[in-house]
Amino acid sequence: MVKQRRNTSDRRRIVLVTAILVTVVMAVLFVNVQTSLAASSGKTRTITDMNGKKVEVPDPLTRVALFGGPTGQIAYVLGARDQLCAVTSSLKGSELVRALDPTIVNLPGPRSTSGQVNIEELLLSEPQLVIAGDLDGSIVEKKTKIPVAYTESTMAQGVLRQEIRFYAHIFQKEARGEKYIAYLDKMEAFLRSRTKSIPEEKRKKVFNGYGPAHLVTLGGDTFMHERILNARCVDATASVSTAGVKEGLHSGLSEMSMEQVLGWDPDIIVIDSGKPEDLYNEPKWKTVKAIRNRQVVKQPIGIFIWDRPTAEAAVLHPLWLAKVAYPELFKDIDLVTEVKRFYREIMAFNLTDDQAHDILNGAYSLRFGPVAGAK
Amino acid sequence: MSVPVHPEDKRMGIGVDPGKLLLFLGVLLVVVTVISLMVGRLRIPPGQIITILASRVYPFKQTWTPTLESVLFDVRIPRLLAGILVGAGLSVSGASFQGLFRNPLVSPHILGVSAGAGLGAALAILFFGNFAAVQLLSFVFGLLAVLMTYGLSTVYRTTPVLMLVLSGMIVGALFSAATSLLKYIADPVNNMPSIVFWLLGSLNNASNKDLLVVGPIIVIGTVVLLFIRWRINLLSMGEEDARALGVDTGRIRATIILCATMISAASVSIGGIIGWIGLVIPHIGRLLVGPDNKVLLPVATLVGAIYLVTVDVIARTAMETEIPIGILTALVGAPIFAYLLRKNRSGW
Repeated sequence: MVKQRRNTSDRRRIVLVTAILVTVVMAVLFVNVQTSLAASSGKTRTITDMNGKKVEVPDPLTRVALFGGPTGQIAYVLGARDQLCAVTSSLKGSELVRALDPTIVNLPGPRSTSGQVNIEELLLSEPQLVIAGDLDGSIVEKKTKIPVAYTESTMAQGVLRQEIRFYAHIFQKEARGEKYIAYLDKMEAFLRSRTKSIPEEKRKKVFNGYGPAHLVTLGGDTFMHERILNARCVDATASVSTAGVKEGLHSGLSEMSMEQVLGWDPDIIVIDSGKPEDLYNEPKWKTVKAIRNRQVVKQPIGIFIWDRPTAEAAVLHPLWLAKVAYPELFKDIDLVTEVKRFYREIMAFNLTDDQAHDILNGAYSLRFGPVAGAK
Repeated sequence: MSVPVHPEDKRMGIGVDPGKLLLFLGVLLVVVTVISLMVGRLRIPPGQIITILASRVYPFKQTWTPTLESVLFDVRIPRLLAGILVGAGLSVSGASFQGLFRNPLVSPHILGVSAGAGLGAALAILFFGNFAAVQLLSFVFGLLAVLMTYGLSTVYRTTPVLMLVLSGMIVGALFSAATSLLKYIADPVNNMPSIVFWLLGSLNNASNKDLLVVGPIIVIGTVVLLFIRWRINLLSMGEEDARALGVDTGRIRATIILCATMISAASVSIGGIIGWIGLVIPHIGRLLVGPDNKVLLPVATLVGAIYLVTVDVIARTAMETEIPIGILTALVGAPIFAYLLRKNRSGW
């Protein structure tokens, strides 16, 4: 009986010690978080994110973690690069970004791919706000107290301008945001006027054949549909809906049946991996117009690949596609000049001719791997 | 059902005459073959399909577009053949392995072939990005993984079958980890999704060229396994008993492993990793005809072909986009397996 009592008191002592330890650890953690928040305390303002959620953030906002591959370049478009404290590893992995903004490697890259967020590295970068898509944002909200503003991640169409204004509002760079939108409007108006003479039956049909087998594509309910129409081409996948997340594929992408593609018989096929010869030499593609007319082209890669809803590609991709489809109408347009102009006027980067050529040839690659952060 | 069942016990199964059953399955395969050729995302009238097919023998005046001909001869037929070959091959390999390892939970992937093939495909996507490289490397790495498993199992001089399973787990884990590492360092924008997607399996990329190379491998492997099926019965009596009967168990084991591995590696190189077929189909076979491998193997071969062709019809027609077939075979296979376990009267 005595022994048992001693056991009980031992157990109590263990519980007590554990409780004290846990309390101390919690307190230390809490104070840490508090101090890191307090460091930037003072004035705040309320922003509304793309989900309509209100988020209170410090004012001025100087440390923002920007997640989501396509939106990485928005900081350059808005001239808000100095306000970033963490980016995606894909932005850091972009060869072109490294060439244009070498200090990018010093920023931590806590987010590799969707759903992969290194929380410790994120905390170390001391962000005041994380801007992320649904999945990454929910991870950050669950594990930290950092405010999260949600951005668009479904690849749906018609959201680009809204998204640009959302970012411009967050970074308080409204004028730069409107400057970009004006550039985009002008490009779209130019394409419309240049191609309006093309009769309906002469419009070229485009199929984006991504992946090693060239059958993965973006459907008619994604941003890509608008781009193809902006180039006054016909979207082969117009009737297919692929927006949203599919198992094993990036959001917005889906695989098509080979026979379906043969049935569409596109005039132009845009690929993102391999070489056009892969299709020219494969017998099952032989009846397709794009193969018979040697109209398989590799998609350009700039700061980010062009088959994503980025600011850069929204302007340049339709122009590039229109020139591929209707070269006789765009004889006076030099794509190298156009790419350089956009980078200079919108992102304040002075590309060399070689860099612009490499962008158009899809020569830039995205290097990846666990790139160490600054800390 | 803990009483051990002798493989030759004819009372098991649903009690139908095996000859009649095989005939029925053969007819069923013809039926699904015809259906498979008739349906697809493109609606082609059956009459036209028959005319196009017949035009290869009788020189009809061509009233159809070259596209339709291509759809039939370059897409539907290769895809159908790939379904038959892969379904039959994986099922007969699964049945043989279950006999060899005397374990009903064994699938053809037990020796690490799919883990190896997965790594090969990931490497090819990362470094070459074209489909031919994916096929070649997945095949080579599938074989390599099983070779390593086999080599590793001979290092330890104990029960060979047990060592094979354990070595398979080790090698499989090693290759899977390497694939995961590649996925981790791969470009998360394009390459990584391609790797993940390929691993889900699909017959969408089957072409005549692939079938010419890979088809014979699967056919030869299947025929050899069918040819030696009565010896698998001897093996399933147990190592000692079989040896006492004067059977060279080592040689039979090596033959089964070689055939099943060639079949699985070839299957993976055409269609990615299609799971559950090699595991579930032999059980369906046992439910039909009992555990005697002499009857079971041909039945499993046919049921596997019918099953995969049917599932592939769903994969390519149910939605406007392709459904990865690996998802469907698991979705259909797992409940069937659960049901079979509950039933469990087929014996083993």
